[in-house]
Amino acid sequence: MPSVRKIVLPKLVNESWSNTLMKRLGQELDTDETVILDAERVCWISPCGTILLSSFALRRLMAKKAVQIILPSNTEPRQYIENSGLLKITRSTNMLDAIDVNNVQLRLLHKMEPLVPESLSEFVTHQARNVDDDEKYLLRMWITELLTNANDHAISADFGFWVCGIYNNSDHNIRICVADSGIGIKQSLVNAEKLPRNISDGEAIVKALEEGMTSRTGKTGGLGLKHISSYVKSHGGSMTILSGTGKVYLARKTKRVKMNHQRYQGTIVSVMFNTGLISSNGDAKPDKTPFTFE
Amino acid sequence: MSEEILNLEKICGSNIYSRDDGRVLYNRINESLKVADRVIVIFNEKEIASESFLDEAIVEHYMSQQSPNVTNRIILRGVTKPDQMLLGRIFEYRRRLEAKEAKKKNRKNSPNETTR
Repeated sequence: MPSVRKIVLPKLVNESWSNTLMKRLGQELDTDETVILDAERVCWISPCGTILLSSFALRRLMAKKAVQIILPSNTEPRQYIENSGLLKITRSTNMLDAIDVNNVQLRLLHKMEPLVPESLSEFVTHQARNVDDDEKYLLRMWITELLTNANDHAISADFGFWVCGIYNNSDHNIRICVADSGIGIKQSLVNAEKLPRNISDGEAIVKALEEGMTSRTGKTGGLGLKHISSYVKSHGGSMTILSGTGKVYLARKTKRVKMNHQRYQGTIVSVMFNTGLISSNGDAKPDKTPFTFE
Repeated sequence: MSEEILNLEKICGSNIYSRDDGRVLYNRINESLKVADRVIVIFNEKEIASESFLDEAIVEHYMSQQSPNVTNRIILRGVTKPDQMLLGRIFEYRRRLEAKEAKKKNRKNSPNETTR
């Protein structure tokens, strides 16, 4: 009987367990033995956890290494995992076409698919019922920006990038997680000669949050991560950015920079906010602009 | 006076989010500016809400000024009010950043001015 490696997932695969999960998955990524993801006890998985598991399964399969999943015995998480495409990935020979592309909970994208920002924005604004049209527009804008960032930094169309959104009825929190498998924030800013080589991943993430910081050469930056984080913080939410070994957590009055022992190849941006706290904040209107509108 | 009319939907379809999508429209506007006096871009009230797309497709013309007098030659028709605001915000933001960059460069080029 061929030997196997088993990763047993806990009942709640929450954000704080993501570090442990990432470490375990990192240890087993290159093993030649079959890896079994045992999710039998699982009741809930955070978007970040779902993305970590999915990208792990995809990386293994693309390297022609075996991976299996034991589904939760509980019906709800079982359906959730089935919907997320994990089961289909493991069963399919052509795994890239097998992922359920109609589910907003988890999507693997090979390019910026127009339907995704629309459906994800709809998903968020549907939950945030108290907000006016201006606020919905801003929400849509930040979601699109998160996705286009991941799209621009995905290393290849084969790996693409992941997006996952979950709304929790009990606490009215929305969690959105977007992950790419690119070279990471530090390397892209070092390559663009915006940062020195000896900077740490954590410091690079902090720099990336500064106004105007961009990996584009010869051009000024876009509104970018800085504005997304300001928006989330001003609405009582939080944002976690994980890239390489760096991890930065941002909330209204908190900024924590940590170093992970396990490297994540790429960047994960995880955003959480409470729909009850979203309200219009009267964004400043621009002064005179050069555009001619008709 | 010659005019070129570009229809956003025909050129980009539903690909109106990423910088790559925006680059397609940017190039079409650029080509049209070479052969026509005015370029009218028809948005048809389609809400975009993508900073990356609008920056790359539209604002970039005003920042790079590759063609002369783009301010009076590009007409944006049927842009939704929120997208008009977003265009304004992107433009202001980039202008502010460029002014900051220019200030930095000036300081680097003349270090003696600040030290006595």
